[in-house]
Amino acid sequence: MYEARLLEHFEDMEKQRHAAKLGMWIFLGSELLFFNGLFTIYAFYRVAYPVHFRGAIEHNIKWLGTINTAVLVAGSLCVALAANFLRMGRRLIAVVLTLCTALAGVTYVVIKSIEYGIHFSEGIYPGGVGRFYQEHPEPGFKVFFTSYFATTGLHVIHVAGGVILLTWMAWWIHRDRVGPAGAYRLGIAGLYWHFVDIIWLFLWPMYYLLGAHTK
Amino acid sequence: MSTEEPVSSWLFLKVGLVIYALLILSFVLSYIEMGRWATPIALVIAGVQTVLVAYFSMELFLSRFSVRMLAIIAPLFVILLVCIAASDIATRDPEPMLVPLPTVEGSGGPPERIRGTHGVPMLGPTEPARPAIEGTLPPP
Repeated sequence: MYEARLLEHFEDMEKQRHAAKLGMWIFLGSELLFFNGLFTIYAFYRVAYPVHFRGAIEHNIKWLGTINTAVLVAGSLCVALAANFLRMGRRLIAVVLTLCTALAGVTYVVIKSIEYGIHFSEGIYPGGVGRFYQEHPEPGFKVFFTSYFATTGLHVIHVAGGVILLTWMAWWIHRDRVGPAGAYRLGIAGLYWHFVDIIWLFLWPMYYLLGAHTK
Repeated sequence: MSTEEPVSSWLFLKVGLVIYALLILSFVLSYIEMGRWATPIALVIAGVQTVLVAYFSMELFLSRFSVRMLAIIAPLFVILLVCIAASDIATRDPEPMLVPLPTVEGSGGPPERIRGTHGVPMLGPTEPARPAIEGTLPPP
């Protein structure tokens, strides 16, 4: 069985694992600051156009957003379990759970694509383009949906990246390139997925729940 | 070659159940009109879910201080920037969205009549241009 080898500049595997984990956390910190700009734009305009934002949220499909939240949380749970089972040496169940996480990501992307399709059919496009804005010319609607497409679009790209990463990890585990001693690699890939999940846990109320009391 | 010690899988399942319960709570509360409390309550629930994911699923409880420090500082920057931006626009006087748009003669002004935060009309094509303030550049 192939196992992660100790690189020469580390004293032991524990330090190597810690360095890899710390590097991933630094990357996630920078990713969070990247999303921070979009959160700030949302907060700024939400305060400026509270009524328009509430009205715009009612045009989002709450139950599809909720299903997507449940799907991402399920993926997060699966990858956490997968890393734990791999540490126990239960390779097969680790592969299955990692693939379940990737499948959750695919499901999320499909549901999000359906949502975008519904928006486009209603004439809602980013940048205030589309017939929807002729019926709702208030600037708050344009800002809301531009922010919505930018933020959720960036998030979808991250989810798609997570799907590729975890499918790759499942293949590596299946091929014995990652085993119990290298389980931290799956743990690091899982950190990325958890991050994507956390971002959505905030996007969900921001774009689906806050203000949509009628649907 | 050392291997990280596995923990009980039940731990992750229990945490997952709590996160799902909070998800349902957030969904149910979205049908209740809570006025100005809606946003803080929804964000607090999301925050609790985040702490659970970060501490257990991301295994911060097994991590060293250097990793935990990163996990605390990065969200603090998010909270700081979002709060500053929101408080900035909420406390500006006059409100920035009510500042008139510059108009160019012959262009007909902005394409539509724009209303500000509280429905107060801004300078639009049907309104006369305001006189230039002394000491400022005249419109082109």
